[in-house]
Amino acid sequence: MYFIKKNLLNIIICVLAFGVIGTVVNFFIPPSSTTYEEYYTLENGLEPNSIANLNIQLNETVNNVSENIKVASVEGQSGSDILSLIINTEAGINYNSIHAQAMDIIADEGIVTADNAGMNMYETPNTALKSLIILMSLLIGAAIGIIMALNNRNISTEEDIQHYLGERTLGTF
Amino acid sequence: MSESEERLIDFDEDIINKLYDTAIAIRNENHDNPNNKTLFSSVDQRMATVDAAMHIAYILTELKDKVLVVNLDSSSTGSIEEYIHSKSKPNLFSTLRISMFLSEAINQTKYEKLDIIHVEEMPETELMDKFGQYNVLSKLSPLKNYYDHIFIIGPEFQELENYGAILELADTAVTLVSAKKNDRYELNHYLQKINLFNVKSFGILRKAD
Repeated sequence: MYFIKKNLLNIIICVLAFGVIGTVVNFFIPPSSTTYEEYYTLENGLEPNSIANLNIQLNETVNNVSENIKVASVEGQSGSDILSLIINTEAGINYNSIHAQAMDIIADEGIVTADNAGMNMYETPNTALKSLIILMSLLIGAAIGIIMALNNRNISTEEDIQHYLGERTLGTF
Repeated sequence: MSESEERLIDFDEDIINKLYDTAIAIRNENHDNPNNKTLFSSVDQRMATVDAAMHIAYILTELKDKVLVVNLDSSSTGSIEEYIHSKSKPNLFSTLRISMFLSEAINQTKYEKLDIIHVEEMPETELMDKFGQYNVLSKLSPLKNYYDHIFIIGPEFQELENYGAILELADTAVTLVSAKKNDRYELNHYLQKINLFNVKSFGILRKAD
């Protein structure tokens, strides 16, 4: 118990220091996935089956890139002149390449995009990895703090003298 | 300047105040055990050892006790002389070479009830040979008849391989440590050595750095 009493503060400082390091490292961790929502104005209204056909073709081609996420899909209503293209990327998937392929498929379907009406981008943070890094940092900090405390052979206080040497302190001058 | 004021110059009044209780405790212990010889020593705190031993000796002389300081650390002779100004030359073994009596090596100091014997500077092997040759213990013990306290100032434990020669002269030991940094294993080793020689550890004095 005296070991904990003597070293608790140093161990906590060590844990917190490594926690800070883990937090800093997390700033450089890329997001797990990024979603791009792009809106295009069409020269003609969408045919009734266009959206379904486009999604089938995207599933057969672009969406084979990843087993985890649906990489590309399109949305739009029959007769509408607005087409929404949604692209999800994760580590290892190049947005420009996917975008080019999707645009080719859209063009092959005979849909002519007149103008880009806007784009939204959403990032999904890599929460699991970041949590793991923080947890590992705290554990490593605790381990290092305990090892440092175990290797600390210094004694200085009257309590140290009583506990480690079994001696009484006559005084301090 | 009065005589008492002049005498206080060499000793630190603050240290005297802080060591007063220790001095009283040692005084009581030695009065209960009149044959006690008290060793002041450390692992690596030479100056603290000298400061503590000399201030406590001074306090006891002020309480009208007679104190003999036997300095067995030749490196501390200069520091001790700064307190007592005996101007005596180290003469422990040079006296024993020509005399049976250690009393002839005793030098007076400027304090009436405080006397001193210094050991000569010599290599450790030669020092150990001298201890074996002259049986210092048998010549030191009779001096308790003339003094209320015999304080032995030991060299640093880390400097002497055969510390037993010093420990066998003492009955009780006061150990000096730093108030900030001490190696637990070295101190334990030293205290075990004290126990091995049946020297009663009186306690630890901490020197604030």
